[in-house]
Amino acid sequence: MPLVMGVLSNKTRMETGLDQEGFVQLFDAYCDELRHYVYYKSGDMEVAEDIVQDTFLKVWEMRSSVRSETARALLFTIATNQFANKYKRQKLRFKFEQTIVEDRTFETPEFELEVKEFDRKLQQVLSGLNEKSRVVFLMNRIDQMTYNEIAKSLDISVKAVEKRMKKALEYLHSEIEQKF
Amino acid sequence: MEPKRKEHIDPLSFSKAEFDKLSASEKVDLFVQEYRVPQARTKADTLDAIRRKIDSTKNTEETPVRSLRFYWTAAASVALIALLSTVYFYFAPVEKQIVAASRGQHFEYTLPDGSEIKVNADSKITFSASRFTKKRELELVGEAFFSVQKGKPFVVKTPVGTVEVLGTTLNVFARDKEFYVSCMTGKVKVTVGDQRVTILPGEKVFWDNGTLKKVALPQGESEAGWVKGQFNFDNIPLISIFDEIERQFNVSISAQGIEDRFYTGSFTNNKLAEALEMVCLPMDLDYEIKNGNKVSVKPKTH
Repeated sequence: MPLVMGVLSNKTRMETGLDQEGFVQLFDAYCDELRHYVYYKSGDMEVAEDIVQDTFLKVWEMRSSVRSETARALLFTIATNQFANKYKRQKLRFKFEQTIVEDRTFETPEFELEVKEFDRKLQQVLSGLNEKSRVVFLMNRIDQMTYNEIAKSLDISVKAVEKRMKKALEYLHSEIEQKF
Repeated sequence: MEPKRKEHIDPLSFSKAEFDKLSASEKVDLFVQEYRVPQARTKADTLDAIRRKIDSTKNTEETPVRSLRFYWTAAASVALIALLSTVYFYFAPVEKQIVAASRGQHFEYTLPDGSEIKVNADSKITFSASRFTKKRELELVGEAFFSVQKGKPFVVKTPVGTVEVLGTTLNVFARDKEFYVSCMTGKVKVTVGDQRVTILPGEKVFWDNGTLKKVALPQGESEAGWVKGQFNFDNIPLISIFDEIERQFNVSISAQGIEDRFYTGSFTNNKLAEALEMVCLPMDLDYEIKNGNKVSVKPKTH
């Protein structure tokens, strides 16, 4: 979730252009969300880290023409382009960290195996989801973002978000009925 | 329609019976909600890396005014000090590492030796990353909770005094002239000028107008309760309580009729209105939140 940030000073801000303070605030607000977004696309945390860095570098270089209202969507646009241009489609394999299996004890070893198998299969199925639906689904379920927030970041309509979510749920439903 | 979270099953302790009852979709939701994206580095490190990339980018296309690099001249450093009070992360010369939490924020950080710090709102820790492995020393302004790995002496410098430990957990509060240190485990040595006090678990030392005083903690845990979002106060001036609320929620509070009044109680930092309730109600005060971030507090009119 993006950090809540209050006004740090009483300076009036320029409408266009990002100063250093604004840049740091932008970074603080959206770094994690952006990194997650690229991870949902690539399944690779190094790629996610690289793209986040290069995205913010680019934003700094063009900071004089950045407008605060569109800065958020700009970040995602740049990241999407960077990803499309630089990274060849490699086989996607998620390795989400989770506590659901690690930090607990199970009644029987069979149950532990069952739960671990479910987790493995689930991450596999998620990797097979179409990218647009996958990203929206994970932003909603893992980052707990509302459809509205997702729409703002990805610069699409809420209806478009709904459509992608619907596709994701349908795909998951059919895959799970079959495989589980 | 937004999907609703189903809270009736505990992800960390569900039984086989409960698991079998779930539909396939419910199982998916149960798992996915607990997934976390793996992280290559902390935000602070990422910001550092970005800064370094910015510094090393050489602009051969000349637009001199706009190709300002993150290059610190003496003049820039002077201007920076003025900016310091408003910027909570800043781009310092490579030597110093800064970990800061702004108002309304808590921050966790792992030091190069594996010790962990939790930084409370509006607080800042400074240390030299390269020297830390040889000498474990850092500066603190604000409040932080430390879990120190056993090893060489670990020194925390604050504006008022210095705290030294070997391996332990402790809470250090250093804002303006207020300075107190609570020991959770291990042994903590606190020095102010030529006064020196050593405290043990369950003890606390505080600076009172020129003297270092030692007291026993009412309940061992409560000093670092802020780490879990619980703020406990034992006969503390109301003004300090509202200060803490300001920091935790990043709001500004103007209060009347609270001079010389003391408060014993607690609040949690979940919701601003809740926290204000917890403090104002027992003290017969009324509060009003305007614009989401300005609060005015007045004595209740009966």
